[in-house]
Amino acid sequence: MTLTHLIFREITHRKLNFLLAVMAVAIAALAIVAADLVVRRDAEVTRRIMVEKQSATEAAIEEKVKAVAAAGADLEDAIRLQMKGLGFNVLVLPETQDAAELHLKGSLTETMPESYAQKLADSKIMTINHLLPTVLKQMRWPEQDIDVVLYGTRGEVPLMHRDMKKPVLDAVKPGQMVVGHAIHTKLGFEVGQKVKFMDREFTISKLHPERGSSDDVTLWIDLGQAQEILGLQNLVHAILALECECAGDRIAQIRAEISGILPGTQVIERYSQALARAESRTKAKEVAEASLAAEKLAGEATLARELASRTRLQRGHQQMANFVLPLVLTLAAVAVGLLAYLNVRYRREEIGILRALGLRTRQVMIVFLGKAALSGVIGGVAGVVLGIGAGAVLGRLLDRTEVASSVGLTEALIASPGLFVTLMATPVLAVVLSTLSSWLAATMAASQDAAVVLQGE
Amino acid sequence: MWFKLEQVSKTYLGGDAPVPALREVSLQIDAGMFLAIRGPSGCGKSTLLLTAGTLLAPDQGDVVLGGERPYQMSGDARATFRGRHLGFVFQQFHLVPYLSVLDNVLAPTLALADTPAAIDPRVARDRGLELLDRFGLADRAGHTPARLSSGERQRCALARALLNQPRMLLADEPTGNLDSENAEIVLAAMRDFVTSGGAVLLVTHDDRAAAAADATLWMNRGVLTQPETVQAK
Repeated sequence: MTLTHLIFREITHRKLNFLLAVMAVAIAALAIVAADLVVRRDAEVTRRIMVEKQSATEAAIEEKVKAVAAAGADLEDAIRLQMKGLGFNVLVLPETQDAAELHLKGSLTETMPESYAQKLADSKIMTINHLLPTVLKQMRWPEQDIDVVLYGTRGEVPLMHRDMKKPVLDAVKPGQMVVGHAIHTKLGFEVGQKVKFMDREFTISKLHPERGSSDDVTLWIDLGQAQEILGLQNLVHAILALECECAGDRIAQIRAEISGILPGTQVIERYSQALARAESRTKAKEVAEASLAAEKLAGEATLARELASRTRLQRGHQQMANFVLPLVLTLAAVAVGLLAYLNVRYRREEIGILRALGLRTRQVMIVFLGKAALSGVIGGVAGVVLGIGAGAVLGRLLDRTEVASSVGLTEALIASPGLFVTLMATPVLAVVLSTLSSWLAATMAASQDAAVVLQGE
Repeated sequence: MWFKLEQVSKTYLGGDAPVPALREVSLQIDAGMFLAIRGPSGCGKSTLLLTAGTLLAPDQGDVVLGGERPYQMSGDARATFRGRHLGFVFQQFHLVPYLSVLDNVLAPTLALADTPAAIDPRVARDRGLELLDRFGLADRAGHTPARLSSGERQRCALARALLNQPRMLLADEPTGNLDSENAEIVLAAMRDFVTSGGAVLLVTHDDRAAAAADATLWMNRGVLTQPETVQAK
């Protein structure tokens, strides 16, 4: 005969009392585990959502970056094409050349060495592209009896320090001629037609569409042939170039750079309308970049809002747990204590006789506290098992996001090892709760006067 | 004398007025004595039994058992002393309802657990089965008290009282709920206990029970009216 035997026999005899105590403890343990699981799942779900959102935002920004880069490349091409259509917009002229002559007559008189073009190309000039040495002269086409602008070009001089770019203007081969719109419409020229110019025969290789500029009355021929016709061997009137997409006062930068390479020259800018368009495109690029920055800010704001929303939800669940847990634990403790008290009341006679038989205070305490501890162990373990299920169900009910449904016990455990501690500690806590709650009743039992009970009969 | 009460008084407080239950009671019982105490209800018989049984401390006077003064011991030491040296039999049996007959009989061994007087579980079990056999309950060892007759319950209670081989039995109306056959069995067992060197203090209204005793004392309003020292028959 042992106290353990006595405890087990009493439990099997008064099952309801024990079952109710186990249930009370199990509910308390369930509440602890479920609350902890919900709160820890919340944290993990929040982490996953933030990672997902962050990744989505970064992907969106990445896309935007690519789009802006692509827009930049398109812009560059567009400008290049625009320039090609409108012509070169930077002219390097001899310092002595009166620019008014160009504007008034579409013709130049002062010359400079053709080698200047190569000198520029060999330098590390950054502010201009596509160097085109030319001769340019307004003159009479005696064979056709009309005034034209003769334009001698040999093709672009490649810049040595840059990647080769597709030329803006194709070179005109010797013996060939490109004809402006006003001329070929007036004279009814066709491609492939042979014409005489200054006693030399040329084959028309291309007819330009209308440009609304002096190009419409221009003939393009090979530079060497033009120099020969004009008696300007190894000399040119101008070096045409395309400006780069420089920020700030571009022409001042170009002048500063070229004056360092080619002293005795001047630089003028043409086609301000085209430049305005280019600037507009540049502005558009800036707008796109600003849009990218705004996108980044919006992404960050979205993340911050999501985080705030999740934090509110987590705080809400935490507050609910903070309210419900103490309440449940208190009610469970009261229930266990009450059941223990009723058990003591019910067993007064038994306690009296056990005391009469010689059981000591400690032994009577053990009889009641042992039973309480056992209800704590069983209720604690059952509560943990049920709490896991309840936590999962509650978590899904409280948080219906897709991410939340993917976070189960295993994921929560991996993400938050503290949950493991909760699962392990809860049965221990349940035993402590049950034992402490029954302590008063056990003390009452142990201090019960056997004589009073036995006299009561 | 193994058991002595000297000038013991006990008064119950808490009611409308104090109720004196024992008035300077002196009594001595030696081993091998069977003493019955009779008297009207409320005369203090049960109080005397509980005081003798170390369950109810007197207000004054001295209680000595085997040379020890149990009321000068701590509660737990007195409980162990009680479990070791005294056996109780009550009119209402006071069996533990959820324990089997054998477990009820073995319950007193709990009192001696973790003490120098602890009984080996196998020895206790053998002794318990032997007692059940002696009282005709061998085939009832596994039953709960609810399945026993009154006589069987009292025999079970008597077996329980004898398990730790006490020096004295304290019996409060042990035959009060029994038929004559069972009453005879119980009284015969008590006589056997006395014959084997134990002492019995019996409180009863029952003439048959009193007749089984070596001597009968009368009690009235807390006062014993017969000679204080009782000799064995």
